[in-house]
Amino acid sequence: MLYNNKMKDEIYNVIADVFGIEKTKISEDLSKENFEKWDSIMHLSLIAELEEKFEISFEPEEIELINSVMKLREIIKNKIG
Amino acid sequence: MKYLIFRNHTVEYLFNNLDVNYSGYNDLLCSTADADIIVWFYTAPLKANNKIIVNELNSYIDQIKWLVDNNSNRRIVIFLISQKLLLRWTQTNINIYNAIVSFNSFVRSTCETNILLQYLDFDEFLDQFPKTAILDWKYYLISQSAISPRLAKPFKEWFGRSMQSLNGIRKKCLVLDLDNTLWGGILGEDGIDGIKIGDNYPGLAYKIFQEYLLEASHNGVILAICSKNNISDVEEAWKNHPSMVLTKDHFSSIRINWINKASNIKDIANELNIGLDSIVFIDDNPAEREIVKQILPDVSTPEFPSEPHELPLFFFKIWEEYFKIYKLLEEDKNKVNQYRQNFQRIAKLKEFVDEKDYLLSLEMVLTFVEANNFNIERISQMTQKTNQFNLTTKRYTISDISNYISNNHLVCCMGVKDKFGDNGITLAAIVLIKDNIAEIDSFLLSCRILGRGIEVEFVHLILNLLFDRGITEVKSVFIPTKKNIQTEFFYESVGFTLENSMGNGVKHYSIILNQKFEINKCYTIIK
Repeated sequence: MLYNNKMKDEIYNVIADVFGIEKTKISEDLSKENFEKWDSIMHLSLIAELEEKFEISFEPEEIELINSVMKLREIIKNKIG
Repeated sequence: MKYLIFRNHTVEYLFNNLDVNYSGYNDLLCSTADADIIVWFYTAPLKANNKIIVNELNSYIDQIKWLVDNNSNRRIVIFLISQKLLLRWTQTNINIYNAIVSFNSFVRSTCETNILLQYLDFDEFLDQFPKTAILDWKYYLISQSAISPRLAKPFKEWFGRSMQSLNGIRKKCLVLDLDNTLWGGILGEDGIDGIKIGDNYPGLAYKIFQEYLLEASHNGVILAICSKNNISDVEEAWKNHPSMVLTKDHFSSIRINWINKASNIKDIANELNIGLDSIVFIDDNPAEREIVKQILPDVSTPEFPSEPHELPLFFFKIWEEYFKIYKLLEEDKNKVNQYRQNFQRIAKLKEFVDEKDYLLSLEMVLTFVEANNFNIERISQMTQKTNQFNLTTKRYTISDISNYISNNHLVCCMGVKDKFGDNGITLAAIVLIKDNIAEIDSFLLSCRILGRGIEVEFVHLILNLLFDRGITEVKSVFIPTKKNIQTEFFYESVGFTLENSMGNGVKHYSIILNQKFEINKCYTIIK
């Protein structure tokens, strides 16, 4: 559980950094739909940044699937456990 | 600064920290109307067929020609093409290689003849990374990114630094320690025979470091010494050590004493008439660096390597980070000499009681010219770099200045020569003209010629020229900054009337022109 929280925190840090927003503005519901800044280019930057940070690699299908913070965390969780 | 980027791949994630618009992929017809800088950033097409690649590469040359022809007054920065993204089918098939080489040499030679064009060698950035990190096919396949988005951060840093160097912005002076910095060991303890500099390691590392520093001074960087030592020991080492590369004459300012280094560096800045933010301080002693960092935060104080063999690479890093520029101008090459000649001028001044006699003895020749293709680059560079004697501190690119010229404003500059040497172009002014009223938008001079009354002569020459052209009134303005306080009363001193003075220190002036100013006999004027 503790590990989970730390992970969440780190993911939120990356999101805040990439989008240049306050961490407090980020929630699980934040999505491509409801956040204008999250366009295809920012999506690329976000994915690249997460790959770098967690030393993981997303499959193209996964990159396509990620459309919200919740989905993003779910996919990362499956990758690192 | 608004960029417009012509591209053939997805590049947005590389520039999203800037104010940028993008063309479509392979789109040349996109409007360039509101761009300050056009960037042409194509990467070699990622196609399997060699012939197609070669044809496409060849077509880039025509595209550049078209772009240049249709944007003759605009600044364009062109990326050279890198080979690194392509597969080499055989060692001996060099068609693609040749196409890339001829594109790149076309760009280089075009940039040489057109001052609004500059290029960036993209390989200089890519060389830091393995091939597999540069092109990540996954990203290319899902989003047409030829450069991996993972390189976005280092790319932004590199591009930012490169644009600075294209704009001619860099540090001016290296202030160097001696013991364990220019040679191994401590001169005061080890003696002239004991310090390490020569042809065997570790002395060789210091010798090579000094050779690079010497070359830096040939490339317009001023060298100075700040060391805790006995001056007589150092003079002896300079004179008698057979492997010493840098000796007394290579340094434009020398502080060898036991006073703290922050005060010494301040002194050096004053003596050379440069800002503290133009100085890079190199010292092996972390305590000395810390003091300087604390007291003089504007001075750049990089970490020093712990092993002598790291010195050459350390020099490369320093050069890249602080001193790299796109191109050396004549003024840069001569700068080191000019600072040294200033010593001789000061010595001369001491011989004279009367200032006029002193000025006469310098045999000064002032060359007043309106801006043209030979000096526009230098004028832009001066607006970018001059802080102290600069009345409005407005920064202009080459294309800004050529726009002023094509709109019939007056852009002029002046070269200064005397019997000790040629300072090159060291004064510049921009005067906006509307009907019979003119306004001095920029007026600046390089600090190395201060104190000889030349700035007064320059204003008079400008006003005389305006008078000849039927101008009856000239306005001017002083905008204060942290650094230009010495020019606060300049316009009063040359006869302008203060019109109003704003709360923020900005002052507006005017002068009515009804006759020409007499030119001071101390100068020979060439127009």
